[in-house]
Formats: sequence, structure tokens, C-alpha cells
Amino acid sequence: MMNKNKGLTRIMDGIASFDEKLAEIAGWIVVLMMLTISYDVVMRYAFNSPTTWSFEVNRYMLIMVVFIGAAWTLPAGGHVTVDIATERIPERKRIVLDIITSFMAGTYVLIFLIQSVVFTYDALEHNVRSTEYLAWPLWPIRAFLVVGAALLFLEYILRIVRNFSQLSQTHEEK
Amino acid sequence: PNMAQCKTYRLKFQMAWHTQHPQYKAYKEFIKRVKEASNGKLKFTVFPASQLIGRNEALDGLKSGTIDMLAGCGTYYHGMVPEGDVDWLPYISLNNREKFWDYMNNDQGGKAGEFHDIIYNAYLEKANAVWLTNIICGSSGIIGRGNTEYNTMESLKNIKLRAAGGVSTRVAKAWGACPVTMATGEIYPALQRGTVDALIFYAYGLKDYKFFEVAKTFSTPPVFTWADDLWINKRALERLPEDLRNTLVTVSREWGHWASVEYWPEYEAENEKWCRENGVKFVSMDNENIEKSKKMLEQVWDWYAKESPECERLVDLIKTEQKTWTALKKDSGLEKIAGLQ
Amino acid sequence: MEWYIVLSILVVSLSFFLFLGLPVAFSLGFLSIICALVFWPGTTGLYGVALAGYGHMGNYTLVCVPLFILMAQLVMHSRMGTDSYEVADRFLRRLPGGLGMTSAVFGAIFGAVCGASTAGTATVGLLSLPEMIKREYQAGMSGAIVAFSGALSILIPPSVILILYGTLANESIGALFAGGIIPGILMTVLALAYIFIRVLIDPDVAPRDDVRFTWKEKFASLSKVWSLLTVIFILLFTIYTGVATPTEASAIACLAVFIIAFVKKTLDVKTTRKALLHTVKTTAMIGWIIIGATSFGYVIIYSGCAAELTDFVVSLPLPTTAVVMILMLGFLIMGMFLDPAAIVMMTTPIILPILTALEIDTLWFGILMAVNMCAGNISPPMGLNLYIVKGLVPDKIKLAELFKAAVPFIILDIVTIGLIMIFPEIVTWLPSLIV
Ligand code: NA
Ligand code: NA
Repeated sequence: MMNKNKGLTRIMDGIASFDEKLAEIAGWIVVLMMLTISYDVVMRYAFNSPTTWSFEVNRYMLIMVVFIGAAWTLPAGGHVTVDIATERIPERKRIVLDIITSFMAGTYVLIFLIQSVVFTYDALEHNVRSTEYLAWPLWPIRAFLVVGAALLFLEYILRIVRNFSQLSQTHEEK
Repeated sequence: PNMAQCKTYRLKFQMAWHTQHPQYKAYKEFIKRVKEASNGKLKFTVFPASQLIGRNEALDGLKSGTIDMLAGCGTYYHGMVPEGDVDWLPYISLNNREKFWDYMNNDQGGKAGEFHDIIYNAYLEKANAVWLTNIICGSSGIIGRGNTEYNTMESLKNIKLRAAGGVSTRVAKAWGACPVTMATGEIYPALQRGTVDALIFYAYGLKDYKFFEVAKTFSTPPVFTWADDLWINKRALERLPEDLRNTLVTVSREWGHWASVEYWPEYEAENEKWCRENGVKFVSMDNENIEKSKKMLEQVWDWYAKESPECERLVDLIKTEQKTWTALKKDSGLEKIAGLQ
Repeated sequence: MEWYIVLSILVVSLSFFLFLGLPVAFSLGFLSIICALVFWPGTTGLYGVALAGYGHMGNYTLVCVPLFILMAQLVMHSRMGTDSYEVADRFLRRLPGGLGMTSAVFGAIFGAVCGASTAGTATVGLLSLPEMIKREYQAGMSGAIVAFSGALSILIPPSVILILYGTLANESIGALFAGGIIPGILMTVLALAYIFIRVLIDPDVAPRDDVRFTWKEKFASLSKVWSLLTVIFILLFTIYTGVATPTEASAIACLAVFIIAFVKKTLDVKTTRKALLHTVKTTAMIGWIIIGATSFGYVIIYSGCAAELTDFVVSLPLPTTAVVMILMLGFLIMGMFLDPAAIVMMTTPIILPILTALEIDTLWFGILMAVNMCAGNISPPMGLNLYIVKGLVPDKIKLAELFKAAVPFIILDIVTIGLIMIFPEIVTWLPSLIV
């Protein structure tokens, strides 16, 4: 039991630190957004030669921030919940409830993941490109939905596993 | 009559147009015509203003069957089906609205229908969508901030020109202007405060988006005429009984022709009158500048032709076809307009 | 099935999921997925419903959200925020609820550079919540003040909601912007009055102390705010002189904060990293709520419930004032559950013919609607601003407290609606000077 938990803890720590690294990268993307937009304004206002890419690239960067930051946001407690009921009930029941809600959220994220795969594969198969000036292939951008949803799904699986393990521990203690 | 004949069918129909948009009013006529022709057996639940699925993802939604029918500009989906964007090329239908529509919508197959079939097949193959009709809508020219007139190629040089990506950004570049991209909602304050000098936009935007309050000139001839398209999901069409299928296809075509050659020209005349009454000045380029502009914009056509082998074929076909229009015009003594070709 | 039964089932299910502790974004998403299976044949609805939010995520005007959040984070961590609060503190400490008042005023000023309530709330909250909590202000009250002040961003121009409405209703955006200014100031003043009176009655809400500052000390502290004033000036200057659009100005102001902090040596790599992680957390949270809310909006519109509800409300045989009141009530109820932009997008086209028929001024109505959306943003169970506040300081504020404390502010919004209905000049006077 203990060994299994240790292994599990190590895996979970590994994933958590990986997700945090991704979130940090997402943070630097926000800095990049700040710099590119400012550059575009300066080029337009001072040099009368605005970029043709800033507008489009910044929208893609926003998508990247939301999706590669999504997984870490869960363990970091960023996804807001209504805690009217959950903050009043005993721990064991709260764990059970957390397993139930994690299953619900996990189901949603899984369906989102599957649809994102379809969405991305479609762009790859038909060589769908952006309709704007850059006309970049869209599949790498849509792939961020897949990566983000997959990591978030993984976080929910881990959360369920951890809850079950806690549940069995509290059971043993009794 | 058996049950099947009495059954009514309802299609979920999303439009990019909000209920005050002139094209929405055209679709009201479409729905009326379908109702009459089908004896009320074919009905629509209409979702205006891209209410359901975002404008740029709507063709994806149609493809997957989340919506049954879609009305919007083919140019929104250039990245998916570049062939459908041919009608936004600079000056492609200038002074030949009806001829261009007839050519683009010729579904009789063979040599004469090749142009239509390339587009039709592209939508069918890439978007699982049956292309019902195309509607040539409003003139897109240059709306100038304040009282500045942009009626020569020289006046466009180095100005900050808001363009909506795709073809219009390329047009702006080819003219030697500085294309600026910004969201539609940000245009008004940008015009008001001089963030941009002018924009490539349709004339009724002056009224629709209230640009007339801060921009007082509109430059003609239209560099392109924006166009709307109507599609139905392939399976949704196949689910309909044969008579309704035929009704829908026929009514769409007849209505598309009406909207392109009667409704929109009338609406544009009305809009121009309204704009003039509200202090907007309509300026036009002389022939010399139009010729210059055409020469400059050849690179936009070249760019489009490189999008796919089918696009290249479309460009070849339309260039050949346009020559016959010029010839016809010359025959009927309209040299002056033919000069604009 | 009748539309009102469907709508009731949806509302009850959503409330139940939220009650279970399922995150807001995923409650909306999970319910939408179930609806996609029920309302569409087979699994054809899943694709569109699940991905409905993607288009929104790619919306350029949302690019300002992470930038305004990062800016506020940097202002906070580089002492610019605390410095300015110290100044406010010196001037206002002796007033009842002084810091709360400062938040409301700051919310109004920040609203003049921010178009969406999400970014507004996040910024005001990041700057003022830690201070108010440090000074032992009642948590629920502090959060409600922030949520209310953040909502001012959609009434005080620039405003995304007013741009959407103006486009759909064919109403002048310039006039709408002008029309929002006085109601925005009015709401700020009402909030100040409420905080003042509330704290007089119930001093525990916002502890006062008797430390007195001399006028010399007060004015000496002013030197500390130059950096924040510079940022606000850059924001206003770039927007109102046409150098940049409001979205772009968010990037420039953010860069200005970076540079000032660098010059003042108040920002190190560790703090920057912390600010960046927080920015990502909030942005991802807002992003997923938008994704969930868009899916849910999709389902509600597709089911026909939204249209039926509106039809029902407007078809009642009543005088104009009563119809407007009922519409306002309908908006308040919808505001409890839906995103303001979604409400505007979905109802304006349906209501417009009624406004025309009853000869109701669309400018006046648009501002009424915007005030109503301010209330919607802070009304439980689905007030987005409340969740943003909660998300900023998850351990410090309980949602139940926040919901309770928000009620008086919702009443302030309703009072504003009432005042505008009785005295339409509050809205129409300023635009009449301009146009
Ligand atoms: Na604002
Ligand atoms: Na709400």
C-alpha cells in the first residue's frame, strides 16, 4: 500500500511540475503578446509601417495561454467553484463528492478532447488554413486544444485516483 | 395522401446576418418563397447574427451537422475552401453584376458550367456542404476619415488603411497603403481619433455602423463587391423527400438571382441617398486611376491563382469569360463602361 | 415539451451541479454536453456544442484580458498598488469604509480604459482586495465592492456590450458611449453613499482607526503615486489621442509598468514569475468559463427557450412602462444565469421590433440594458464577477458571504435603473450635446 502510494505520489509530483512549467511558458507568452502588440503600435504610429502579423498571432497566443495553462490551473485551485455545500460537510463525504464531480468534469473534458481531435485532424487532412493574411495551417493552433484538454483530463484522472487512495486510507484508519 | 406527404420538415438555419442587416431582409423573402413553393412543408428555425456557432467556425458546424443550413460569406472560409472566395477578387463583377452571377451560378454542367462546378465540388468535398446559391451584395470601397477624399492612387499611398485580412489586406498592400488590422467594434473610435485614416468597407457600413458620424467620404467604383453564399449540409438535404429537395434548390437559385440583380442594387441606391442626406460625399476615381489600380492589383489575382490548381483554373476561366462581356458591351455601344473592365 | 419546463430543468440542473461543487466552467460544459445528446439527433450536437467557445477564444478584443491582468499583477507586486493605497489611506482612512470607497472610485476610473467587466474586476480586485483583507474589512463586503466596481467597466465607455448593442440596434456608438458616462458616475456615487452609510451603521464591516495624518504627510505621500498616475495617463493618452485602440493600449500600459518597475528596481525574476503564473491561472479560468458559457448559450438558444421566454415577456398586453419594467426583470433573471454579451446578442434582435412599435428610445434602452448587465455580472448564482473575485482570493472569501454582500449592490443597480426610467435625461442629456 505504502509503496504504491509513493509511486503514485512521484508520478503526480512529476505531472504537477510539468504542468507548472507549461503554465510558466504560457506566462512568458503573455509577455510576448505585450511586446508584439507594443511593437506593432510603435511601427504604425512612429514609422507608418504596421505589421501584418501582430493581430492574428496575438489571437493564437491567447488560445495557447488558455489551453496550455488549463491543466495547472486545476491543482492550483484556479477553477472557481460554488462552495456553499462542500465547505460544511465532513471530510469523507467531501472526498466522495469530489470523486463524483471529478467524474462529471472529466467526462466533459474527455468529450471536449475527442471533439478537439476531430477538429484538429480535419484541419490537417484538408489543409485548412487561416482565413486572414498569414494563411497559416490551422492544425498546429487547434492542436493546443487537444494538448490542453488531454493534460486537464489527466489531472482529473489523477485527482480521482488520489481521492480513492485517500478514501481507502481514512477507511483503514477507522 | 399518405403520412409522408403531409409531413413537414424543419431545418436549423444559421445566418451571419443580424435582423437589421439588409441581407437578413433578403432572406426573409427567401423563406417566404420556400414556404409558398413547398406549400408550407419546408420550414426553418432561423438563428441570426451567428447566434449558435461562431462565424468563422460555422462551416465546420455545418459540415458536422450541428446546423443544417448556413448563410455567410464564402470569404470567411477561404482557408478551408479557397475556391469559394473567387467572387471577392478586385473588380471581378464590376459593372457586370448580372453576367457574373449567371456565370458563377451556371449549374448546367459542361464547359459553360465548369466555373460553377469547381466551386460546388470544392464545398461538397471539403465541407460536406451543398452550395445552393451565391448572392452578389454590396459595394466595398474606401471610407475616408473626416472629409479626406481618396480618389487617386497617389492619395492612398502610405495611409493607415484598415483592412479585414485576406483579400482586402492584400489590396491595401498592393496599393502601397499601410494595412491595419483591428476588430470591427474598434473601427468607430479608431476613425474618430485618427488611429486609422480610412478603411475598405461596404458603403452601408456608413449607416449600419454609424461611420458617417466620423467619416464623410466614400470612394467608388467598388474595389470588390462582397458576396454571400448559402449552403445546406449534404445529409440534411438527402433527408428531404425529392420534391422538397428540388423545391429548395430551385427557389434558392431564383431567389439568389433576384437578390443579386434586383434587391441589392435597389438597396444600394437607397443607402447612397441616405448617406448623401447625412453629409457623406461620394467621390469616384477617374479612368486613369482605375486602370492604375487594376494594374497594381494584378498581384492579388496572381496570389489567388496560386492558392490551388482549382483557383488557378477559376482565374483562367473568368478572365476568358470577361473578354466576352467586354465584346458585348462594345457591341451595344457602352465603350465607356467597358473601359472599366 | 413546453419551453418553460425545459428552461426550469436546465436552471435546476445547473444550480444542482454548482451546488455539488463542480467548477462553474465545467458545470456549464457538462450540462451543455448532456443537452447536446438530448436536443440533437445522435451525437451530431457534440461537436458544435463542445467547440462553441473556440471562436470566442480567438476574439481579438479578449487579448486585453491577460494583459490587463498582468498589468494589475505587476502594479501590485512592484509596490505601485500598495503605494497608491497608502496615499488613499492617508486621505481616506478616517472616512468610514475609506478603502472600499477608493476601490469604487478606482473601478470607475479604470472603467474609462477597460471595455469588459472581467478585466475590470480582476484589476480592481488584485489592487484592492489584499489591502482590504489586510485591514480586516469584512471579506464578503470587500469582494462585493470589487465585483460592483469591476462591472462599471461595461457602463463607462469604452464598452464591448454597448458596441454590440449599438451594432445590432443601429444606434450611434458615439451617443451610447456618451450616454453611459453620467449613469456610470451616478452608480459610483450611489456606491460611495451606500458604503458610507453601511459602515456608519455597522462599523465592524470596515474597521476604522484614529491615526491622524497631517496635511503635510498627506501631500508628501502624493509623490508615491506618480508611477501609477503615469500608467493611467499613458492608457488614457494612447486611447484618446488615437495612438492605439483600447486593446492595444492594454499592452502599452503593461509595458510601461514593466519599465517603471525596472527603473525603480522593484521587480525581480521571482516576483515576475509569480505574477506571470497568476496571470495564466486567471486567464485560463476566465477562458474556460467563456467556453462553458458559450456552449450553454448555444444550447439555450438552440432549444428555443430563450426566444420563447422573450416572446412571452413582450407579448403581454401592458402599458409601455410596464413592458420596460418586465423586460428589465427578464434581463435581471437572465443575468443571473448567462453571460452579458450572450444576452445582448440574443435578445436585442428580438426586442428591437417591440421597441420600435412602442416608440421606446433605443439609446435610453441600451443604457438601461447595460446597467442591468452590471447587475447581472454580480448576481448569484452565475454572476461572473463574483467568481472572478472568488478566484482571486479563493481561501479568503466564501461564496455564500459574497452572494449575501452582493445583494445591496444589485439593489443599487436597480435603483439606478429606476432613476433612469423616471429621469431619462440622465442618459440623453450628454449625447444631445455631442450629436
Ligand atoms: Na469601460
Ligand atoms: Na449573473
